Amino acid sequence: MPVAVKRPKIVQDILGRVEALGDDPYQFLRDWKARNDRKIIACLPMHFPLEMIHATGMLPVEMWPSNERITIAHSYVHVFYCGLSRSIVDDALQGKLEFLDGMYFYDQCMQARGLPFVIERNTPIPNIEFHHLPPIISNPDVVKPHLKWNLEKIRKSLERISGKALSDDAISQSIKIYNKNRKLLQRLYRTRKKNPGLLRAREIARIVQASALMLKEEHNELLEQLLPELEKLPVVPDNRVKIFIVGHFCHPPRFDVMDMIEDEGMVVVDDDIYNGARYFALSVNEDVNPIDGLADKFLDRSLPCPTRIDNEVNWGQYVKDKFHACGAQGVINLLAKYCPPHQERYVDIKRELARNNIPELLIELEHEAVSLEGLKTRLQALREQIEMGVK
Amino acid sequence: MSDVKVKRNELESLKWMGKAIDEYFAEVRRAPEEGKKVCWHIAVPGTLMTTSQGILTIMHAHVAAYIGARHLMKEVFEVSEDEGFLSNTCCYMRTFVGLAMAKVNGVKLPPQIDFPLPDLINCMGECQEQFTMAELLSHKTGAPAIIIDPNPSGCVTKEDFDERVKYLEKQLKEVAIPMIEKVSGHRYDYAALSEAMAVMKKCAILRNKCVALQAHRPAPMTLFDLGVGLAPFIVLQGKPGTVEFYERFLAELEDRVAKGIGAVPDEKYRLYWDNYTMWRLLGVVGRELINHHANIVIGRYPLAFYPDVELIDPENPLHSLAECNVSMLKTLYPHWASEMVNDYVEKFDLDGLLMPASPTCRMFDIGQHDIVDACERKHGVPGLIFEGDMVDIAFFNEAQFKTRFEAFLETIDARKKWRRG
Repeated sequence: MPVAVKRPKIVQDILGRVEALGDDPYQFLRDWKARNDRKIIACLPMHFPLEMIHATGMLPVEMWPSNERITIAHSYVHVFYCGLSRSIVDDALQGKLEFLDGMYFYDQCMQARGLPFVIERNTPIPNIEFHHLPPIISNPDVVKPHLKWNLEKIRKSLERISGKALSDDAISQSIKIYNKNRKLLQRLYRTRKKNPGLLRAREIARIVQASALMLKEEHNELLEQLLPELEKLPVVPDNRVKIFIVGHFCHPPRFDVMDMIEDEGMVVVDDDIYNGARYFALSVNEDVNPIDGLADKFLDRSLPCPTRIDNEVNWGQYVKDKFHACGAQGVINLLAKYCPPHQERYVDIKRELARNNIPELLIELEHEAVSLEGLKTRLQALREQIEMGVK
Repeated sequence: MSDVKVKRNELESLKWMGKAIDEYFAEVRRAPEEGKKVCWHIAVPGTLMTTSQGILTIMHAHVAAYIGARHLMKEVFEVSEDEGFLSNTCCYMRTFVGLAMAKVNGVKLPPQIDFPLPDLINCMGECQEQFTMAELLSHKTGAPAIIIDPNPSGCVTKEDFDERVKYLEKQLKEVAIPMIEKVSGHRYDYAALSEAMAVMKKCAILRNKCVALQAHRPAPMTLFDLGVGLAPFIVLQGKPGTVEFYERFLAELEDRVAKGIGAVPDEKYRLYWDNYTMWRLLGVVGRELINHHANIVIGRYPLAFYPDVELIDPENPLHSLAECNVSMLKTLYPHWASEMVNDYVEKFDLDGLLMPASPTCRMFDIGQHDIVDACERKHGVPGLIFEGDMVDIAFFNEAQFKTRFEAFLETIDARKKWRRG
């Protein structure tokens, strides 16, 4: 279903650019590197302090799943690993990541731990490193000194790869640029919330995904062009069933599935996905030493993450509160198949939503294939359930 | 199902272990009526933090192994599925949380797996799933949880190692001890911890001697025998009788070596086992192995229990516990495992690698393909990667395993001929 609002050419052009970028990040990044003669470092998504990489003049990018089927990686990692981890290995083994000057991994989840071993052993990509970012944040006072020790270790690594000293001032400058990007993306979400028919869920996710792949200054420029144009557009009444999507905590969901949700008469009014609202939810405090600021953001407990243990978080309550705040009528859980952190939290989410009679649908998304016809029926059933007020 | 055509030589000394565990579990079950506290422990390391303080402690993998080996998981998995767990969620989580929820919801369980709900949850987990398990158990039972990070990221340098030890020791002091004191109602008894650690050290020294005997042909025990003997490093840490058990165990193995008796009659194939022991599969896999005169001589998981005896220092228990734990966790990393496997092939004269992988647990199985490849290149020793699970039989295909295992043994035969020229 196309958007209800007629959008000016500049908007269409920008959306076309981010769609192309997300569709083929490899070509985009190779071109960027050739054009700028700067190094590119890939990191596992979510918690790596990208500002520190940016401050060296190198381009930090967050790893992404490819659009293609996994082939040779299945001779190196098990089929029951998540799509992102298998895809990273597959891309690396196929030589599609040879433009990278380094890859940073951290203990984001069990699957992430062994990836550097496989990639280092089987590819020529240089500077494959694994860093410890504490997975438990329940006791921030105990964790913080150790976290800062690890951030300093990352600083030394970056100085070695970039060949230059990394000062606190440079990190502070990068933090400002990253915070600006977060503010602009928050503004984009506010605009979408007022006028849900303005952009498709896929388009929003592509814009966020572009932020994870582009130099932040360039993405800020893009948003500064896009936002005033979007804000000028008239608010169009939208009677579609309003949906809140949750999940895909570390990489973009399948865009064809996001399209299908909206094609089946629903509209995504807000989300709690990584290539969505989670990406820009937390900023870094600019008024303290930058390493402290980065550590404090990591330890911020207001945005729970299934890969950072905080015993005080109640996931069911968290999702329920978010759902009510955005005025949605139903929840879709997008679960990346073989993502233990999400599936373990799903137990509480499902129970709490059911207890409160909130319509909910779980969609397990595989990298390779999803039965789209079957999914279509389930989405139709969810919409009808909501429209008919079935509890 | 295969018939057993060859009979394994069972170890007399191991019989004590089953009895000791049954008695211990009975004591745990009596805890509420005797006014004792119960801790549900999650992780390999650290049970003696609570056992030494008189808190009766059960450990997730140990209980799951007990349930798996006795084929009692059905009732527990039904409860965990009702809770909303997907079937490919960590089988230990489904077992441990399933047990708790059965109690909370009043579901009747077989008496041998009916444990009192925890007064304390203690997690020094090696993986995200274990941390989450502690969090879920705490939320569902209302018991307080200690969740600390033993920093299982693999150490590259001495500087890394020292920092990780410092961090873990700080957590033990500032997070774990105060909570244990709160639950037990008395000040932490460091002398009792030291005493338990001294007993465990004696066990570890004896255990390492037992392991070293596996280099003999035929090997005097199977790796699964060693697995059964692990309780003195888990819930029986520091308990009376454990040192004596290991003395008898070692004497029996030495006697076998002197007489040339192997655990498997006419030992023909000497194999390595990667990953956890898959307790639910012991019968099926064990029959296949023994019928082909194959023995699992050595493996990765049982050696994750305090292998570095020089680090066990009862005089400095918290620091020592931290050092031991950070050191033990290296077994989880494929860089280390790859070197270890190559070393084992030479040291234990191995013919092949059995590499089970569980779709519900990713702790050991990443890098398995490369570990096999490295070993084949260096030693010409082949590996067999197959799917299974520690507790959930649904992930194991017996017919497929048998066919592949037979083909694997044929490969070993061919390689042996080739090596002999």
